[in-house]
Amino acid sequence: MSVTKTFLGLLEHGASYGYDLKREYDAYFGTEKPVAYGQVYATLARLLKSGLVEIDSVEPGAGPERKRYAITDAGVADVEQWLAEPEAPEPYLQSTLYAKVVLALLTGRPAAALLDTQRTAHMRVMRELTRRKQTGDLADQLICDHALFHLEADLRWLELTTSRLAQLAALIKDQGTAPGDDEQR
Amino acid sequence: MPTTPAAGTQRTAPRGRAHLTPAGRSLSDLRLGAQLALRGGGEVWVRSALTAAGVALAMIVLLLGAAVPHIVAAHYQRDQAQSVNWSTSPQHLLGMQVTTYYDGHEIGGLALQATQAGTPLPPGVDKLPTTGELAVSPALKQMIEEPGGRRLAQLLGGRVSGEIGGAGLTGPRQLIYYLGASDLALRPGAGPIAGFHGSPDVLTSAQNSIITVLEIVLAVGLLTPIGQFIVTASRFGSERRNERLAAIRLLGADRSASARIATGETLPGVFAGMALGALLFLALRPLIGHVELFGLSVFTGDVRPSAALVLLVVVLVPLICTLSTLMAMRRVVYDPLAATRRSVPSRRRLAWRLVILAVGFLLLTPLILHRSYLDDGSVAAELVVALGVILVLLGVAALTPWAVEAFVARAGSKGSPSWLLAVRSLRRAQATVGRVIATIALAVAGAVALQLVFASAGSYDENPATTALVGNQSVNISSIVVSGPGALARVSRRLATLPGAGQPRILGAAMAGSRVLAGVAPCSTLARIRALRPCRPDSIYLAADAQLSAGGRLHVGTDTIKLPAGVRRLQLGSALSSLQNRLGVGGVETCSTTEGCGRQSQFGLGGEEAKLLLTPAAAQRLGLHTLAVQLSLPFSVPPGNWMRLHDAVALIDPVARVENGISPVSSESSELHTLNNLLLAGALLVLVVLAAGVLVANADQLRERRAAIAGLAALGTPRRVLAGSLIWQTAIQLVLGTLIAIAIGLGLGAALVAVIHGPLRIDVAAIAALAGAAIALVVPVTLASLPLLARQMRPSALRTE
Amino acid sequence: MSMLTCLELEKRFGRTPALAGASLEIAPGEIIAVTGPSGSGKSTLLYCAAGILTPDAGKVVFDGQSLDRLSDSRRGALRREQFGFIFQFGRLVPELSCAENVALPLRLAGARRQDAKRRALEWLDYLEVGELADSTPGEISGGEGQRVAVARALVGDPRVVFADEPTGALDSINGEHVMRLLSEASRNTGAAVVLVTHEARVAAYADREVVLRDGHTREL
Repeated sequence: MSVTKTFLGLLEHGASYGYDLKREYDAYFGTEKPVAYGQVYATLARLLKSGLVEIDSVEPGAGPERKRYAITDAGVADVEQWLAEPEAPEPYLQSTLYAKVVLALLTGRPAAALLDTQRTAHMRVMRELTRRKQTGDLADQLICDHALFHLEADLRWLELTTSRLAQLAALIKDQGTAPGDDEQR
Repeated sequence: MPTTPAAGTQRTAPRGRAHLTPAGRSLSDLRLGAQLALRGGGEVWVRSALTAAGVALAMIVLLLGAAVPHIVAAHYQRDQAQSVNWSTSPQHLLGMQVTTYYDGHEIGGLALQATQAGTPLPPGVDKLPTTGELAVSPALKQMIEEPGGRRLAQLLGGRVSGEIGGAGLTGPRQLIYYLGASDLALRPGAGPIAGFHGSPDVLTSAQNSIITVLEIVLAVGLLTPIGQFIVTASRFGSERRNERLAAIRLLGADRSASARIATGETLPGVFAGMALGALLFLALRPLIGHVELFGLSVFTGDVRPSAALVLLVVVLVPLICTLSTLMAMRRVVYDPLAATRRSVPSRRRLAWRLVILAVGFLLLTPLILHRSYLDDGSVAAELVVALGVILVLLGVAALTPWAVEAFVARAGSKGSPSWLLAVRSLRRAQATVGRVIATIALAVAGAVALQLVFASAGSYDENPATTALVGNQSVNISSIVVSGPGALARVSRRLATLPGAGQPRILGAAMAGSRVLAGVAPCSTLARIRALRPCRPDSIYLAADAQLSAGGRLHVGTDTIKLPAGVRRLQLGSALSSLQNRLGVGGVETCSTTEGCGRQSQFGLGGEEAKLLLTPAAAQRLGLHTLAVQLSLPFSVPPGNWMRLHDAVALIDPVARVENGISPVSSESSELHTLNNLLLAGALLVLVVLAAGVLVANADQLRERRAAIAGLAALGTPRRVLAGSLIWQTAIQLVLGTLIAIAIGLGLGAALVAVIHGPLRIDVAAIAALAGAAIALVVPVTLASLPLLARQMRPSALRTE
Repeated sequence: MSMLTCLELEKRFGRTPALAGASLEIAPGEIIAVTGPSGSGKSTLLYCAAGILTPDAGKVVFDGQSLDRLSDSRRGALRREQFGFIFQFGRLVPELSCAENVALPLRLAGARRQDAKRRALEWLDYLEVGELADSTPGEISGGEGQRVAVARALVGDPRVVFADEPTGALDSINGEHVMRLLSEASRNTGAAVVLVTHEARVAAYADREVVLRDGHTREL
């Protein structure tokens, strides 16, 4: 799952300091593995260099913590493109898809379309795999089946999430905080 | 997140069953079942209601059956009370049995003459009617009071002066009368009465055996369908119930608990039905008094179900229902998930079914071969017949399902899709089909056998004399008493003018009190004897050995007749006997206990008393006015004229008797024939009840096959194919069952007829009617099943959620 | 070139709308999957397309003819002659043998008994359940039963096969087996298949997917 894109998306949601950014990231995505400070600032530096973010304001005081980062128009376009494009269907996509869904909701974009697009991509690959399975030998069948099962698992998660979208959106909008925030405090 | 209960409040868990004793557990299971039935809502209510209705119907019939012994006994007692105790020695009460025919009824009665006060009275009468007066039963009084009833009073011979009370009647609609008379001494067939409450006609041994056989076949053949109906009623809607039970079973109820719960569920409907049935029976009971089944009516008070039988019914009905429920859900209890694969049930064995049938017939064989066993009324013989009949009928019930299965197995797959579906469906639903078919077959076989027995027994009723009475014959009329000049000539004219009648040959006697003074006959009769020719209108013949006192006086007892001079003497005795022989008059021998023996015909026609033979004119001249007459009337026989004859005779003399005529009341009205009709009606009713059973079985089956039918409908199966399969299914069951039943019923009937040693008569029309009815039932049953079929074919039946 | 078209179908049961503007197009020989959450009306769409249910609004056109113009018996004839059906729970006639079950559509269409039987046996063999020809549905396993159902659906050489959750009651292995045989048969005979399913792996056997959500269809 791409940390860079995620930070970008979070910044689109709202400009923030590095420290707050890390906290937000951890709240949504880092429950098992919080992101390291070093990675945070390194990523921000990279984004700055490619012009996707800019420095909004500077607090007096020393150190990188004092800069507030904000997304640029180019950054918004990048997030847009990232969200609109489906991930290459492969197993264990859940974390990335999850990130995409949350970010779409946070940035006010239609998450349903995202899910449908992903589903289409998945189905296309699954169809191909099924066709290959029917004409291949036993080894082919085993491999295809393996992939098919995992892809199906992803799709099932997708369907579940799709049906829960309304709930999820309400949660994010009303509370304005990430789920699980209470536990952080 | 659910809030945790505040500390300190303990929530007690519901108590389990561990604390109950085994008996307590059983009761709680039953109660659970009952609760399921009472609170189950819509469909369960319908099911219980239907069960209750079926059981109620059955209860009414069973209670009626339980009352039959008492009804029969009461009838017998009343009959006894009415019957006359004839005496062989002179009594102060004289009586003579008389019969009147009116409006299709044969009305029996008694002419009574008391020579002294204080004579015994018939039951229900507190005062003997005087001469020309009638005491009649209420039903008869009603008939007289109707418009046109005056003629009836004339035929009866008097004026109504009193009513016969209930104690003197066998049933509220009995037609019976007592006529006051004063000249019974002059009539043959009259006799002295010692009292009433004699023993009624002792049934001949043949009649006894017939009745026994009838009772047994009736009991088995017609009551078993009632049991079957009860079973069907308690099985209605069993599919849903089975689903419920499966769920309960899966929740952990063990087999016996499930059985108890199921029982508890059925019982409310059963008990409600029993109560309803009993109430309806009590409500309908008073109506029985208004029913007249051919000359037989029953007092409401006599309809008393015997306590022992009622107890039996009260115990058996719930028992049958419970057993049937347990049998039905046996499979569910055993396999609630329907996980075991269902294969075609194993083929039925033929052997033991044939054995039952054979043993049944074998039991009847000794009674066929040895005439006397049953006639002697031995209880052992009756038991053997009963057992034989029961076994044969059970054999029929056992054989038919096998036959259906064999037919279905062989019927194979040739034929249209409708046929195929029907045949296979039958093969699969063996248990239900078998049960229904078996009962139909049993009922029809029983009915057919009874038919044969009735037809045979009916032949006993026919008087051999009357069967011989075809073409030109003579009918004997006795007990006519006339007085006054020309009366005899008037009688003669009256009778001769009847259509088809010839000149009557009259032989009478001049009476003084109860003594015969002289024989009297017209010349048309006398001239037939050569010794009496020539006969002149005022001829007088004297016995050669008669003693005359001075002045030509003949003394007969205390009476004297003065004869003119020049009276011809001859061998009167021989002339009289040849007269008798020639005319066939006076040949009326009835000397059974109902006629009264001990007083023979004393008209001297063949007896020794008469020393004098006169023509009517001569009798007039001699002052002998009262004549008791018998005559022989030649008669060619178109049936309608019998009524006229009887009417004419009754109007001449209400106490006169037509000795060997045919009853103008059609022979179909004799008791056995009506019982015959009753039997047919009963069999038809049973068939209808069974058809209802077939309907319910069909409905159950349609519901079970719901998924398959919906699938077939989706495939585009035309409605007529499925409807056709329903028709075939019902038809196969009914037709096969009926054919087998008729075949074996004929066999059983023949065997029974041989047992009672009667002639074998087969009423093809009645049997054809039975067969036709059974087959015709296919149509309504199928039609009634069609709506349910249509429902299963609708798209909504495809939804499984 | 569409053979069977459903246009803006609407259908309510009581107050619940099952279909609110659902459309579907099927070309000859293609396999279509209709997916969506459970209870979303997929089966309803299927039955409307097959002429079993009449929609409240919208049109179903088969071979250029609108189904609502046809009488009930004509629609039955259509189903008999042109369509095949596979249900989730078999719905075979329990008292007939498997061979007789498969032969039944042919017999209903008027074929002679011997011919129908022969074709039935051919199809049973093709679906690898030939040895079950004389067994009854109650004696065979679920997977075998579904294959018999597939044979029954295909025996009449239908133009369209309607399959309502055909693998819903089967485990993965049996499900795979049935789907493989079904799609092969479709390719070989040129029959189109409309497949209602909630499983992605089953939908993957189709050429196209139509999602039914909230009564509306979307093609993905």
